[in-house]
Amino acid sequence: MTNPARHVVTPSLFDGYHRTTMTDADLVRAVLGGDDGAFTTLVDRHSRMCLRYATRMLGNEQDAEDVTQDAFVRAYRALGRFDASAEFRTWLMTILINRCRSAAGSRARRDGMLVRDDDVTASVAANGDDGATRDAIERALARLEPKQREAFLLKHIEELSYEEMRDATGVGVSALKMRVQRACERLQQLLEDDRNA
Amino acid sequence: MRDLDTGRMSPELARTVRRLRRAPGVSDDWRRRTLAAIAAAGRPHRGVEWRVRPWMAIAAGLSCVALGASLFAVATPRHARVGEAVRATTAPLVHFTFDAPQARSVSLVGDFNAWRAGVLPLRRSADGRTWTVEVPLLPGRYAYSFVVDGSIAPDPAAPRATGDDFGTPSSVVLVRGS
Amino acid sequence: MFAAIAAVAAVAIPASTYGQGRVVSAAARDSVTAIADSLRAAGLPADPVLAKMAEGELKGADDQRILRAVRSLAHELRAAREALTESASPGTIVAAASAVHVGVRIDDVRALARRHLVRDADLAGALITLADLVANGVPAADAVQAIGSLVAQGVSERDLDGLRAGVAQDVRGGQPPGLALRTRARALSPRAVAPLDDR
Repeated sequence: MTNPARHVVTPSLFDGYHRTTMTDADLVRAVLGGDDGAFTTLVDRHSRMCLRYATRMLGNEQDAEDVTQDAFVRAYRALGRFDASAEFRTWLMTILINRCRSAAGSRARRDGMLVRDDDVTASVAANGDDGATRDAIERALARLEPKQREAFLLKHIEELSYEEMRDATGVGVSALKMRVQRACERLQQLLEDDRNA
Repeated sequence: MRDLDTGRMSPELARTVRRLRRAPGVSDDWRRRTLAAIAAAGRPHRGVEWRVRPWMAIAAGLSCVALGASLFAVATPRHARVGEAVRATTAPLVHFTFDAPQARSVSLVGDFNAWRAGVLPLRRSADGRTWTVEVPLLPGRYAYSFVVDGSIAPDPAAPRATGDDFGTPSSVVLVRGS
Repeated sequence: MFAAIAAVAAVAIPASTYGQGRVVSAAARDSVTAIADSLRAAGLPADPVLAKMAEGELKGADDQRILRAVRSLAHELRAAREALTESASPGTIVAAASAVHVGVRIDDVRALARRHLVRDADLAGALITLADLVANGVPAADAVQAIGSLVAQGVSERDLDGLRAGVAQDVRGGQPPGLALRTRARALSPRAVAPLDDR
């Protein structure tokens, strides 16, 4: 059995500190220049946000973990095609949004319906929440149409601008604003109904 | 059309948004599996830089789904440099080997990748007899098996995992800290 | 080589296709999550039970079997925690749980952890070797005595692993497990195995 050629990489105590001060664009350039540890920093920097979006979108922590992992691997492999003058976060979100859409589509084909209420688990940590409130929110979110849920999460939870959302989803700004507004109205109604139930 | 920003939301909806903004923690296990999957992926190639056009990204994603393509299914050559760099920041590389000259595909499943077949493919040696993969693993004890042409097989050279193996024995690797 | 391995596998190990993999029900997943949460709250590693569930899914086990395996593992992790010192790492706790699972007594795990001032990393390796020996049919008392003695003498991890692999090979070749251990352990250290009439 042959051993793969070893490139000596001397770990430096300062490498970790240095990378945390680098911008996303600098980190991408570093990865393309051969410093793969820089991608670890990108993962650490963006994983919470990605997991949050995927969990809210899919309503299931395990699916969210799978999809987010997949998105990071695809981003790593496609890094050479990323324009470093663009926002890495938006680009990563584009990939993640795609993966979530695919996962939801696969689950729909498997389960026969787009959303199952009993797939919405209470597994996402939300400090200080009581379980009942968290469940009500997740139930309401799951009952939104996927396009509305997607737009709502990107706008109000991930706090993307409408231009960033347009770039990430391929949907026009007017349509996105409509979806966000309808999502808010619907969520409001669902939360009221839940409270009154 | 006016968009509804948080300031104009009802108090209940605004509370909902604040709660939803609280991000979940990232488990060590997820992080470890993700970095291992990245380390097993092919190195990014510096290609023509183009600004992402959403329709291109979506079309690419849909075509991947349609073709059933998977980033993990192909046993791509491992790049030691990727593993080394990941190790420099995270975990030692652990070398897995399986002798199977007749096999068409071998992949590694275990506690470190949630037992997902195809995520960690082994690559065949030059003489075609041996399959290998290197995986960065944090110190700890992991149960694992190989999936050889669809059949699960333990590592004949490793200790056996104890506990319910659901009818198919697994093996154990102990990764030591430095 | 593959033909030889396949021959061994055909005799000893039933082949299993992963194509029958499945996903547990939401209720089962919730149960496993609750068990994981309670382990975490007790300062115990929770990932092993989640991994056990994933393993069961890959191997096509039904919900009840998976839940039984998860509950059993959780129970063994708690037992292992009580037997080990406070500085035991998660890997050592899991290794101790595996020894408990095959029948090593808690008191023996406790003695191994405390009496010989063994380093945590070495203890984990010793516990894995111990569990494998007993899983291969070596009487637990013999295995405990031999491993304890070898660890106290500072036998290397490589030698311990060689002992384990050698005993496994001898057992596959038809030797009685206890005899296989005695022979191999004595080769490493004459003091490793007590004479029969001293036990």
